[in-house]
Amino acid sequence: MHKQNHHSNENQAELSVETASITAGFYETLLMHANVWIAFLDPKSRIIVWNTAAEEISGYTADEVRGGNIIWKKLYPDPKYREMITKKIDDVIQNRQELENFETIILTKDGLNKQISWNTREILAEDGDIKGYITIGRDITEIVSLEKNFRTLLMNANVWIAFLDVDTRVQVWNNAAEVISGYTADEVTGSDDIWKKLYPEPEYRKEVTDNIIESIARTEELENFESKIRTKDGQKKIISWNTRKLDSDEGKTLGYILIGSDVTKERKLHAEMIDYISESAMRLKNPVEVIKNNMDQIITQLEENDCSSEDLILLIKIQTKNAERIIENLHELNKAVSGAFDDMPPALRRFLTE
Amino acid sequence: MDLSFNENNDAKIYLVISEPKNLRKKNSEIITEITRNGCTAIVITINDPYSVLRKSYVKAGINLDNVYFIDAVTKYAIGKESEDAVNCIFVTNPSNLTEIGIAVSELLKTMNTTKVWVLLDSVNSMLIYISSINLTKFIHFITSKLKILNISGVFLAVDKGIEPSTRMQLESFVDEVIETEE
Repeated sequence: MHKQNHHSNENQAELSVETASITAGFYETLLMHANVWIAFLDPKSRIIVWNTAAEEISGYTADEVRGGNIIWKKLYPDPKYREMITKKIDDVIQNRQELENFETIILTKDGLNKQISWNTREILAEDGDIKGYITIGRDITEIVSLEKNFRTLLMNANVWIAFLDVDTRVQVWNNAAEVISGYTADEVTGSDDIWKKLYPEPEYRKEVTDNIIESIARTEELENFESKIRTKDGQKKIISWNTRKLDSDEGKTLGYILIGSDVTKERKLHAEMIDYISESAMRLKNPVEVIKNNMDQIITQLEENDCSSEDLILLIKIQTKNAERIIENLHELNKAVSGAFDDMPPALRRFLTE
Repeated sequence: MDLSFNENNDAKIYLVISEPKNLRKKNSEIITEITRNGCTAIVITINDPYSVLRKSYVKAGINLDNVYFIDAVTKYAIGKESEDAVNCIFVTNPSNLTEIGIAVSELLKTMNTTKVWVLLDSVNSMLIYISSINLTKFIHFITSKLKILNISGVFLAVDKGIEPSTRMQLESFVDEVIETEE
């Protein structure tokens, strides 16, 4: 057993040397072929390690950059920008902090600008001296471009878009939100005061807030909820809201996305249509019934020989006047309708008003 | 018809709803009831002319001594007043609410009694000439005037002839709504 054990220990020592060698090789391969820019710098910022991704992203090969620090001047040719970045890195080094998600724009060898997110930490020797710095860079050019495009889209969408944090403070307020409400993003961002301004009447504000909270608590969203806001210049507008709770991947509530459409004009038109329908029923359909009933009565009087010809003529003339007036009413109502619809075809507008 | 004629002479205002074909009959019934109770009637007629209405009252046996007319259609239809008209003011146009209002006031001034009833025939005919907004304003003006003077009134209207929100407003001005079946 002992011999066996001794033999086993010897083998283990041989194995661990071999394993260490394999492991170091494995890590070097992994490091050199990782899909993120990895560089190791000595304390004087000279490049010691420059992996394949660093070559691909920057366009500079390891042979071109290794042993020197001239690469930083090439990546940041603008002295002022370089000075700003150097200062930031120096501050971090002096305070012995890690540099996390520090974003810079580099100029590649083939003249392209790329946005890199850096994570850097110092590597210490056993005696505590700084051996150098390991720097990991991610090319986020495409992500930033996508984010920029998305932000441009969001900011310029023709619907009111706002993002609120969990305490309903405004974080995002797009251009349409500014135009519809009259309040600029600068005036509302970071605060929840805007709701008091949009809903100045406390009871109505509570009613709206309760409705939103209740719906979101029940279904995590609110669809086509309409509320009346007061804009900065005192106008009253009707907004149709769609609200959704936004959760992180871990299920933590990040805030609420609000999308609002100004439906004031549609609602006004709708109300005008209802008025038109009820007014036309009263001033067109029912008066025609009045004439019909009067004419029926005239016929009965004629059949019963119950009326002088003078009275008959008068009664018929009154009905003619009634009919004339109904035509005028129809004309008036048509004018009102054609005035209410901006997008009415001109030919139809002429037909209704002439 | 259940119009109230109490001894205290408390004025009451009614909205009487009738079938379209019975409108003239209801008018006669209301005036019969008013005059039989010893009251004076002022008929604002937008539907039938004075000459026809007067004959129908005579036919119904109504004593016309205490019946006064404000005729808003004759002059408008034929351009002149009826000849030999008695107790009648002719208004130029049914849409001239000011003239109708003045005629009511003038007639009320000449009467020494508060036992007066005003009948408007009909709300629906008025809607041919004025908008629903102006109609409700006019009815509100008349009811206010009658209540101040402690005078009763009846507004005659055709069943299903007024849209719900306008009818609701009219109902809020009157003391009672009477829906007649025949």
